[in-house]
Amino acid sequence: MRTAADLRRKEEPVVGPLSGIRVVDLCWVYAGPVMTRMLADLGAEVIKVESSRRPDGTRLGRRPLDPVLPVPEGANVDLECQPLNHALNRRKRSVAINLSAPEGREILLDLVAISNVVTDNFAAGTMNRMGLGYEELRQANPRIVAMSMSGAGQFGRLRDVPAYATSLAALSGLSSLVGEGSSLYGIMMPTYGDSNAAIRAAGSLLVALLGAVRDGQGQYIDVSEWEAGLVGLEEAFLTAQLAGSSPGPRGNTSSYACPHDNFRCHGEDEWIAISVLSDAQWGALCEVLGLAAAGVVPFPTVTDRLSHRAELDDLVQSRTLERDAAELTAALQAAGVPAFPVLSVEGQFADEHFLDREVFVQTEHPLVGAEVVPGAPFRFSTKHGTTAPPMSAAPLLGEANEYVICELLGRDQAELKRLVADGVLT
Amino acid sequence: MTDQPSVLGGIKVLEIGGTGAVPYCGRLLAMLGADVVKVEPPGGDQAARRLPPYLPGMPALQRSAMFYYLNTGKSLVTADAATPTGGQLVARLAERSDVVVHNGPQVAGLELGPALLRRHDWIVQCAITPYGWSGPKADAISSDLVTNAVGGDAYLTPAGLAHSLAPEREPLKLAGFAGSYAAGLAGLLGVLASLFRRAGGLGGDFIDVSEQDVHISMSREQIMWAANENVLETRETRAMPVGGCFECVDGFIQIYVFSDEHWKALRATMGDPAWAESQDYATPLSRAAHSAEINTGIADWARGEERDVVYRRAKERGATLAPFLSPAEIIIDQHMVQREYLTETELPDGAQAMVPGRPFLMSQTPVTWTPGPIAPGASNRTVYLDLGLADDDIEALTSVGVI
Repeated sequence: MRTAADLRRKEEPVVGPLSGIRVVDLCWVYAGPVMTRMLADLGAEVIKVESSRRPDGTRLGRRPLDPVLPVPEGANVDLECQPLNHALNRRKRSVAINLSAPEGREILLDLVAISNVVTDNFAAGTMNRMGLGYEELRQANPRIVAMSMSGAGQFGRLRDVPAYATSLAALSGLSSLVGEGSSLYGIMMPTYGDSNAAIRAAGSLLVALLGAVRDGQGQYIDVSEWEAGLVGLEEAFLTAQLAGSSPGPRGNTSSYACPHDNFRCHGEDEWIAISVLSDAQWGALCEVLGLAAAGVVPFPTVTDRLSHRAELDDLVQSRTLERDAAELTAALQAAGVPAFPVLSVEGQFADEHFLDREVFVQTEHPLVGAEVVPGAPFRFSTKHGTTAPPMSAAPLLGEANEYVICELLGRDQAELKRLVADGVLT
Repeated sequence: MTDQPSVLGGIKVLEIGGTGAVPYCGRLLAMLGADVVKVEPPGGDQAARRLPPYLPGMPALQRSAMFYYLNTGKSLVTADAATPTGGQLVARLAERSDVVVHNGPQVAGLELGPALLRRHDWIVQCAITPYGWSGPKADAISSDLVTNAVGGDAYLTPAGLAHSLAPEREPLKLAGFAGSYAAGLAGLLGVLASLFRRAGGLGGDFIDVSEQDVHISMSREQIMWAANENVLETRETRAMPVGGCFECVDGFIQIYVFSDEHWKALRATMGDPAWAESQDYATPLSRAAHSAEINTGIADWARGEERDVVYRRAKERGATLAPFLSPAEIIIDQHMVQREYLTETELPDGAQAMVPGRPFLMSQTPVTWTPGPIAPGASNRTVYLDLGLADDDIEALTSVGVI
């Protein structure tokens, strides 16, 4: 067995692949912050530009946690104690700039001039309306890579469609493919569209940065979350064209594998996912579940099984009902059958595998203290070991004001004070 | 778009194994201009080449439209990596590559993972596996259904109203290959980041991408609530109080209502009906307390409306409402046509189909789509000659079944 220690850092200091890259991040809410969090995980310096005048939606909306540490002067507890905001913005810095003040916009453009990337996920056209369109950004820095991510992209008939996860699931066809029969009503999916758009958008930034290495030129990237939502649905799109009609909702069924479902196990809301991808796996499943009477495997071919799906699912479920999901998983994995319990978040927390891989990490937030947040979706190592940058908690609003104004932009303390007093930094 | 050279022009990629995430990652690298060599077992990858839907009139191992979509445009070679000779060929292909993307296959005489990086520190290597390279369950087997179950998506699907209509129903997976392709995207991101580091004069990386980790790290506000607020969301409790999917005369619409602005805009879209004026519905909390009657009111209204008419009105009023589209409708949707996201391509049987083309819309970087032959080993001769083998060697290896 391979262990995490194989990959752990040895001696020499090593840096993440995006070390030295500075990102001016105007993203807010969900999809955008997930994207720039990945850039931070790759070693980029991500400076989140936000403002108390129009706070990031994830700084609001739920009852905040109670602070357990002393609250610094000027910190607004109501905006600082939302776990979701902390999860999405760990490893980032925050500068509080009022972009509707002319001076605020100038500070932003000064920051753009010494950065590599600018990102936003406002509604289509917003950056132009704020006087921060690609032309303005390019005048500030001809090498800048600017990316706007929006629900349906910057142009097209549906460009103003609402970009909530459920709307995007409806637009992408995903909602019409999940579920069974006509019971579509109210199907609600995880925030799948957001996360896929986030990974794609981060990928496009890397492409642009690689391009800039080649020719020294920046560029503009238009990311549509709707387009990203089509990823993984190609089979349905090809089927719709080859068969002349859209496939309907298919639940957990597969057109080439059976059994292929989540089956109820012993206990409250306990389920096991089982995919039988070959006749040999079916034989092994029958063996483990005691379905091969006198060594004879029923429905030995996939064609048999696909045409008796309902009957087969009932048969399998009649046996899984008596079994413990974890115990049955171990038996099926040992027999070579893809299977795993349907995990809740609590199940994931408790799983030794995720603990070993540090899928969840702990940060020390300045107000709420120790907090569990998701780790990075990838692990990088060079021959010297891991290159993950140090973990840091999500920033307080404007915690990096001094860093940005004085250290990066070279203005003095008096100027910093004046900008705060004038409501430019807020 | 300009006539810039493709961004990965000259980059050699070796792709080994997998039916979903790895080939998807390889496809995106090929579209960005990389020269991708895909290794399959002699005769072709039986599982990957049998993915439906099928093209009529094509030979058995070349009729999978999905295999074509994922793999056309790559150089397809065959090698029996489990044999010493075949393993050596794969190792030589790896050693001359800039990038190796794989799913942790057995290659005789070639140790993948950190060991490969120690020997060849310029190689960018990305392993995309269901559970990751390390950890007690690294070798467990999976499928897209299983990934959805482990990653936490299934536990929460379907939720809210849909769950309440059939509370005994099993948890559901997302459609298609949504689970594994997200990991393919994460692999692409990893490879590009590592190439960027290498362009700065440093060595390559070993990138460990786990399908499960991708799902868990990407999108789970539930993680934060469970870990830090002691709130465990379930299919039963995960619900939008107001809104959801509603049936119209000719299709479905998705409505999202959280803030007072959302509610006001939706009321305007519905023509400000008297029932919706109630003070009981004035705040998010009071709407949540009366969600059933509000949803009934919305449903009664929607039933008499046409989907696209409602969408246009909602757009004017600023309501958060989207039409429910099917794959067949998306293909011909004017928005998709205007943005040229879907590209018409000729399938091997001569038919035309629209498939997702460019992965990103970038002002300076072109993305190309050049279909090629997909027969098993279609590029054996070209690639192996390039590797220094003679025609006689290739013939001999073919006759003994190594390639």
